[in-house]
Amino acid sequence: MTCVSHSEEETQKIGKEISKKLERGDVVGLYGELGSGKTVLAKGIASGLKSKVQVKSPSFTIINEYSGKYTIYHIDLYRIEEADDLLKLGFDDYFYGNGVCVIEWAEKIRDYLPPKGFDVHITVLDETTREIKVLPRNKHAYVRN
Amino acid sequence: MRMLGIDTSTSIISFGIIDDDNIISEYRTNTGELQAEDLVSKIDMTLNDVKLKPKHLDALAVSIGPGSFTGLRVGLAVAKGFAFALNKPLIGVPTLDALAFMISYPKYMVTPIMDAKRGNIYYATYNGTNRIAGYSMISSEKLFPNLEGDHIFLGNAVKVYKNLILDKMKNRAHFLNPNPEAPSGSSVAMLGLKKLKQGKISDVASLEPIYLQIWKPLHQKDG
Repeated sequence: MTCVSHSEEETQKIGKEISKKLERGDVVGLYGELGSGKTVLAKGIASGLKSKVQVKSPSFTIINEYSGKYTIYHIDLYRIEEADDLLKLGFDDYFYGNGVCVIEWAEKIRDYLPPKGFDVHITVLDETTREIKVLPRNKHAYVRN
Repeated sequence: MRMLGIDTSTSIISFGIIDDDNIISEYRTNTGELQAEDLVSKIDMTLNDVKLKPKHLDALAVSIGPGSFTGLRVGLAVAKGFAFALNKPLIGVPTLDALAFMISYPKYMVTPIMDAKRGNIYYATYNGTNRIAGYSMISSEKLFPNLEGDHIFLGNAVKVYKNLILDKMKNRAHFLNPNPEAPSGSSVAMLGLKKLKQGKISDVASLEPIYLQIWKPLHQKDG
């Protein structure tokens, strides 16, 4: 699914649409440059999952937890240098847990992402316009070494 | 001797208070959510229920992994906190030992298996009280075809790999009903007590979890 957003509000709405497809245990990877709207999209997903908590960027905290239809783990890997660091922190508990993970800067741990979920690529077209591409991750046919 | 044993190596929170061979109280919840943060208040509540105070405990035992990193760290931090504050001995108990300790069946080997995610398993094999393989992390595809003889499996990887196990091992695979997904806190306490009597006390400051993880990506994109 590919769509074009012309505002923050539209990006949030697209997040809400994505949230309708989510099941327990899904991991959503968000890809896009600084200011492309990853956190805005995460807000949309959280509100779609009936979270009443105010969604804030976890750039500093690395992970925020919101309760909703499922527990939402909102993760921002901006400050993470290596995928190993994240795994040592014990992120598998979230990736293979009972909630839903929404991960900003998912490109940093691409090879470690669990097969279940979606990849969302945001491309900046101009100041207010974004192209948002949503791909189911399991379609990629991951294989084990 | 009164002991408190704690296991938070999975999403299950379990602890038990024992007095030698008797289980005085046991607590266990499994909501599937990470919830180890409630551990101290639940221990407090349970001690109250059986009219004990922390100072009545003679020693602490804690399950040290392998397992969920966050869970292990919370369990260890809590157990260390009690041991340090009460100035009582602390005994670290490997999680797979505590699982195997729950069964004694001389005809078969006992192989606790725990889900290490990404197709991997933490395991060890016991013949009676002797550990003859492990602690290791191994891919599920490599483990089961290579096990010889009859094995009793338990642990939280059973529900993930039961079909694979039966396919590879047929009637040489045995299970328990219900399958213990993680050791009970009482099993941790009782094994801890056994170790305590052998003088195997852990150093509160330096005791660490057994992680067993190898840090490399195990998924590769096709094409």
